[in-house]
Amino acid sequence: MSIVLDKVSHIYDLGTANERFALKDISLQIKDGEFIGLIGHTGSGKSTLVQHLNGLLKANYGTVYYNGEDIYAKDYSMKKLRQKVGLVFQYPEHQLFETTVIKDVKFGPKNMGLPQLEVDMRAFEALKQVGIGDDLLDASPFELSGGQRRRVAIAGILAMQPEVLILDEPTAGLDPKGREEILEQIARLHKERNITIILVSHSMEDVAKYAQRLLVMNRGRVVLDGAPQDIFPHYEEIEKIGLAAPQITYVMQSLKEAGLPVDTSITDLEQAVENICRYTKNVN
Amino acid sequence: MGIIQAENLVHEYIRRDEDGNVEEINRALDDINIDIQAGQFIAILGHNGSGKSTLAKHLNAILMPTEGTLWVDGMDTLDRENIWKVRQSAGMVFQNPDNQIVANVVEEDVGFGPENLGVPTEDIWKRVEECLKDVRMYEFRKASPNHLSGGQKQRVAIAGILAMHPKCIVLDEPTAMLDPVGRKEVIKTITRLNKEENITVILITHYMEEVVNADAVLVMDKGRIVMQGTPKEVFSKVDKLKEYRLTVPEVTLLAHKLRQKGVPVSKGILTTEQLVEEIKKVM
Amino acid sequence: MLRDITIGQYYREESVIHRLDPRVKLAGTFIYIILLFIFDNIWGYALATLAFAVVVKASRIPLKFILKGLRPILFLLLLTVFFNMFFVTGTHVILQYGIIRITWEGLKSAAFMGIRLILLILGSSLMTYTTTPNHLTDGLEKGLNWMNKFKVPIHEIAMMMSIALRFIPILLEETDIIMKAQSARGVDFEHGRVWTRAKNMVPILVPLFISAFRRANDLARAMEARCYRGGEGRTKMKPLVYARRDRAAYLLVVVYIALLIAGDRTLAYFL
Repeated sequence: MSIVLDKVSHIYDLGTANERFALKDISLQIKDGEFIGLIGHTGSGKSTLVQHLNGLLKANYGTVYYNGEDIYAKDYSMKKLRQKVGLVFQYPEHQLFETTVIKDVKFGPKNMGLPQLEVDMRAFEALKQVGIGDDLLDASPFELSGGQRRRVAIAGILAMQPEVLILDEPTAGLDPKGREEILEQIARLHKERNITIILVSHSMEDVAKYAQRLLVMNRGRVVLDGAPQDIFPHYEEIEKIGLAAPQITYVMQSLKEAGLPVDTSITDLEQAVENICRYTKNVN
Repeated sequence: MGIIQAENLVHEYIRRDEDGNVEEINRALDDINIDIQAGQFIAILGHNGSGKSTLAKHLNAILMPTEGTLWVDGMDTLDRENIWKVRQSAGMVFQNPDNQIVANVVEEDVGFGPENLGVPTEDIWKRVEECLKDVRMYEFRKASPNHLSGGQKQRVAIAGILAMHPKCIVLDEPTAMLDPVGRKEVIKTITRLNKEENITVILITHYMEEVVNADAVLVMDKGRIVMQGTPKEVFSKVDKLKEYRLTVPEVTLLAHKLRQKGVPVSKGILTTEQLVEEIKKVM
Repeated sequence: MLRDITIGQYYREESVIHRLDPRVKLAGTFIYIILLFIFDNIWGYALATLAFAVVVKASRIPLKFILKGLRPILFLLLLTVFFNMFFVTGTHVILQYGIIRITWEGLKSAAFMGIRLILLILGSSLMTYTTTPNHLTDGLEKGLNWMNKFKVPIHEIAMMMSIALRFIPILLEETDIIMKAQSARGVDFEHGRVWTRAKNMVPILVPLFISAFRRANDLARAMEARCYRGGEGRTKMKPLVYARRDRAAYLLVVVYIALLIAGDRTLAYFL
C-alpha cells in the first residue's frame, strides 16, 4: 500500500504568457503508515502537490499511482480515491455548512452511500477522535469556538475513514494550546490507527516534533527528503530557501561551535536537555 | 497621563432573548487598569477568548465601556463626539489582510484614510508616498492588492493607518494568517516604526517569538490582566504561562528545563544567543 | 487563474484614449450607441465604422484583440442575422426554395442588424479596454453627481461597485477552494441528474455566503476604523479634472453628431 508519484509536473496557465511550473518532475514514494512533514514557503508547491494525491488536480506530465493503480486510468474511480485519501484544506472550518455539528460530519460518509447506521457510527466515532463531546453534537457549528470548529471540520474527513490523511496547515490561526491539541490528536490517530499522515506546515518545531520523514519543497521541487535528525543539521541549505531550522538546532549548533561536543542532530526538547546536561557543571 | 489609559474598564456582552430579557451576561473585560506611555511597544498576549480582541476594539472606539473609563490620547471614548478623533489617533490593523484593503490599487488604498479625513489632494499624495516608503512598499504603489503576498498586504494596511498620522497603532493579531516570512516582515516593520518614528505600538498576538523585543508584556485571561512586566520577567514564569494556555519560545523552554535539571542558567532567557552564552559560562 | 479574471477587461497601453477623462468616454460611448439606433442607414453606419476605426487607431490596441470580444456573442449575432434574413417579409424575392424565402428587404435588415450589433459591442468594449474599473467608477460618481439632487446615493453606489470589483476575484478563488474541499468530501459536481447537481450547490453556496458576510463585516469595521463616514467631507486623492484633450474630445463628439445629421439630410434629399 503506497502512493507513488512518477515524474509529476504541473503547469499553471498552460499556453498563456503567465505559464509557470507549479510542480517540476517530482518522483517520490509515500509508504503505508508514514508520518510525513511537508514544508516549504508559500508558493513552493506544497498545496499543489497534496491536491495531486487525491486527484483534485491532474498532472500535466507524469502519473500518480495509488496502491499500484494508475489514478489517471480511464476506469479508475476518483470518488473512491478521495475516500481513501482524505484532504483537510487550510481553514477547513470555512467549509462547514450544515445546521448541526453531527449533520456536517455525516456529510462525507453519506456521500459514500453507506447505510444509515454505518454513517451514524462513523460520525460519532470521528467526533470522539477529535475530542468533541456529546453535548455539542446538536450545536450549530457557528456557535463553537475557532478551535472546536476546526476539529469538527477535521472529523468530517475522518468520518470517511481514509487510509491517508493530508492536513494543509491544520494549526493556522489557532492559539498555542489549540495548536498543540490538534497536533496531539493527529499524532494519536497515526499511532493508534496507523493512518498515513501528511502534515503540511510552516512550523519547523511542529514537524520536527511529530514527523518521521520530512519533505522540503522549493520552487515546485522536493529539495530535501529524509528524517528530521538528518535534515536539520543542514540548516544552512534550509535557510537558503527562506526557511529556518528549529530553535533547538541553532542552540546545539552554536554549542558545538563553542567547543561543546553535543549531538547536533537532536531536535527533541527532552533529548536536548539530557544531552547538554552531560557536558555542563550542574548545581545538584 | 499616558497615551492610553484605562481605569476599572469593564465590558459586558449581553445576550437577550426574543422578549428583550437578559439571557446571559458575558464579562469580556473585567476591571482593566492600564497606562501606556507614548512611544512604548506593548505586547498583549492571551489565548483565543481571553478578552484581548475586545480590549483592542475599545481602543478604537468600536466598543464602549460598560463600566469604567478609557482615555485615548486624553479623550474619553464614551464621548460620541470624540469617536473619529479617537480612531484617527489610535489606528487599527486587523487580522485578515484581504478584508481591510478597500481600494483596487495599493496607493489608492493608502490614500483612503486621508480622503476620509478631508486632507487636501496634494497632501494626500505626500502622505501616501511617505507612508509607503516607511513600510518599504513604495515600488508596489501601482500594484493590485490581489497580487501581493500576505505580508505585503499587511504592510499596505499598516501604511494605510500611518497615512492618518496616528499617535498609536493597535495591531490585532496581524500575523495570525501569515507564513513565517510574512510574520517577520510585519514585525520588522512595526519595530522600526516604533524605534524610528516613535509611534506607540500595541501588538496583540499569540506568537511568543514576536514579543521578545517589547517594552512590556501584558497577559490576559478571562478578561483580566493576569501578568505584566518585561518579556524577561513574564517568560521566566513558564508554568504560570502554561496555566493561561500559552507557551513560551522553544529556547526559553529549553533554558527552563535545564534550570530544573540544575544547570545554572538565568531565568527568562529569550534568544538562542543568550542561552548559548549562559551555557558557555558553565561548560 | 481565477484571480486574474477582470470584468470588462482592461488593456494596458499608453494612449491618448487611455488618458481621457472617464466622463468623456462614458458620455461618448453613450452618445455613440444612441446614434447607432437613430441613424440606421448606410451613411450612419459608414460614419460610425469610420469613427470606431479612428478611435481604435488612437487607442493603440491591436484590432485583433478587440475583435476577440465578439466571440462570446457570435451565436447571438448569427441568430439575429438568421432571423432577420428569413423572417423579415418583403417583396423583392431573391431566392425561394420550398418554404424558405429570402427577400432583398430581409437581407438588408439582416445586414443592418448585424452591423449595428457589432458596432454596439465593439464600441462599448473599447471603453472598458481603455478605462480601468476604478477610473470608470470615479467617472460614474462624478459624472452622475447631479443625481444626488434626486436622492440617488451616487457616492455609495460607486463605492459599492469599487468594493465589488476588489472582492469578486477573491470570492471566485474562494469558490474554487470550497468546491475542491467539498469534492474531497465526496460531492460529485460533474455527474448526476439536474436535481442532484442543484442540491450539490448547497455545500458551496452556504459557506460562500457566510464568507461573504464575514468579509463584508470585517471590511465595514476596517473602513470605520479608517474614519469612513460616507461621501460628505471627503477629499479625493485622484480628483477628476478636465484637461484640454478632454475638451477637444467633447468637440469631436459634437462634430460627429453634426456630420451624422448633415449626411443624413443630404441622403434624404437625394433619395
